[in-house]
Amino acid sequence: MLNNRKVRIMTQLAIYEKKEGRPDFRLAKYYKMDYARFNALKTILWVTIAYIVGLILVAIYKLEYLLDNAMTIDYKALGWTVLGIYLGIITVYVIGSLVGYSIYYTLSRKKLGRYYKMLGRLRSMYKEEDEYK
Amino acid sequence: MIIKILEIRTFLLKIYQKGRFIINPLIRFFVALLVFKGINDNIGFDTRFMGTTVTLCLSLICAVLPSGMIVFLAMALSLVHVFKASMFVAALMFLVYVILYATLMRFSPKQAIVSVIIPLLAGKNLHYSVPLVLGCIATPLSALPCACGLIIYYMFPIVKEAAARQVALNLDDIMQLYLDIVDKILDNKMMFVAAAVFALVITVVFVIRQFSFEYALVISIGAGVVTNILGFLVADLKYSSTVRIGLLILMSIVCGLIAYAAEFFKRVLDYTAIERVQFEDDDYYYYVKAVPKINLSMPRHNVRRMVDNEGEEDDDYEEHADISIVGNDDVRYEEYTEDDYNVDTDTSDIELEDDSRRFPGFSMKKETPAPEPVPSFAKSSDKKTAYEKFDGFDFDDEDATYTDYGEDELEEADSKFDNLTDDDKDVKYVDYEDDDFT
Repeated sequence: MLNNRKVRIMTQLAIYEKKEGRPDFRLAKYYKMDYARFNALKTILWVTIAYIVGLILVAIYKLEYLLDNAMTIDYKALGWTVLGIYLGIITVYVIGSLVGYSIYYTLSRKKLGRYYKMLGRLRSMYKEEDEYK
Repeated sequence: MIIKILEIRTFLLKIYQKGRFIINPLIRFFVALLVFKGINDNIGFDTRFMGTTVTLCLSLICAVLPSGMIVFLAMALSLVHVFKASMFVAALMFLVYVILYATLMRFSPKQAIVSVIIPLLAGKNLHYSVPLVLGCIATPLSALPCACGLIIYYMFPIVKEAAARQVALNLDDIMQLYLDIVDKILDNKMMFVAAAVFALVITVVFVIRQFSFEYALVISIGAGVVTNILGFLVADLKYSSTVRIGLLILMSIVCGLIAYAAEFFKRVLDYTAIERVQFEDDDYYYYVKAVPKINLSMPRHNVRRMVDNEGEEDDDYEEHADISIVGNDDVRYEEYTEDDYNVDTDTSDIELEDDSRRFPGFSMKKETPAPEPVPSFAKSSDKKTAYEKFDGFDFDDEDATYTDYGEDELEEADSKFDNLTDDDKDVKYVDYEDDDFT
């Protein structure tokens, strides 16, 4: 004899596991700050790559000026400028990614919490059935 | 009129729900086809990739894979075309794509498709609908792929012109070409303005739709349209751009309607039937405002056909009758024809009430109940039907009995069992007595 309630819960659990739950289960392996920091590290790597590429393109654009004033350029100030801009961009991106991924993690945990609640309900239904047997 | 529109909406949603496993790949296929065709038409330098076969094959691949593949293949195809014309410009384009992915696209991978949709729609000035729709369904983070799409849209004509220039492969000419490209990109203020305006529109729509006042969704789209128009007008004043203001206003309104249509298919709320409740639990006191959704079900039209069953065996007879008699030729359920039931099969004069207009989604049909089969022994000898025996009979009279069946008729019915014995195979009968008929 089918228990309709049990079938309904199991169906909802299966749908969640198949679709929305996949990234949520991956996230569940991390702590919140670990996940946010890991993604911040990935962001730093990609932004650094993009900054280096952008710097090369700017250098090529300003190549004529650099070659003409190669002896007179204050390389120390130039280096500090380049580093300062880099740190500024990285700061913005790191803060943004920490906040963004933390919010994403929180929302994912809420969905996962609902999933585990349903799982607990299913477990108690199995226990009731075992007691009747 | 509104009910008809809601019925059409329900009908279309039902079709989509039933066939979304086919419809979603079809949509991806057509979007990919349009994107690849647009790339071929704009920067089709490599004729090997301009054929219909290649376009169809790439579109088929995109149909079965996630939507991010459309973006990847579109970028690859554009690089292949530009590489054929100018290796240097292709290298520059590749570096720009790397920067765009690293800084903009990787944070919103689900909306990456926007970066190819915007260049596709911008040709018809319909790209204003994209930030309005994104503000309704996504977060302000979707402004990043939006900016990506705008940069690609404004960069393509510059790249096309640069790639078409025949330059010698020496450093001076390549440098000059590179400087021209970068100068044109940096001079194109509209690219940055459009990105800023779209980001603002997405934010405005997103913020306003979060509020709980009535018609917040509609107001948010309206506010987005106004923000879009004002943003581009200010840009036009500041940078003296070539934006046609009349066309801008008209297309912004059209795109607002498109965004409203998209939201209409997502949900329809009935603000006239708002319910406000208050309750509490151990931790909180709740003020709840419930706005019902309008879900109209399609009226179902059941067609019932009354077919003449004369001469056909009624296999369900035994399920309905109290007895089933097999083996005696004198007693057969086949003796009953449709006339015995005295049922009028002509349904043309039956008026069916249709309440679907007063009660949307509800249709009430009056159905003629099927007559119950009458046991063979109740058939009277003077050819009167069993039902006619009840003419003038008061069914509501609790003291009434079935005395219309006279003693003679009962004896005649009983006599049909006289020839049966217990040895007869598969004989089942019930010895009816007078009390059974009261």
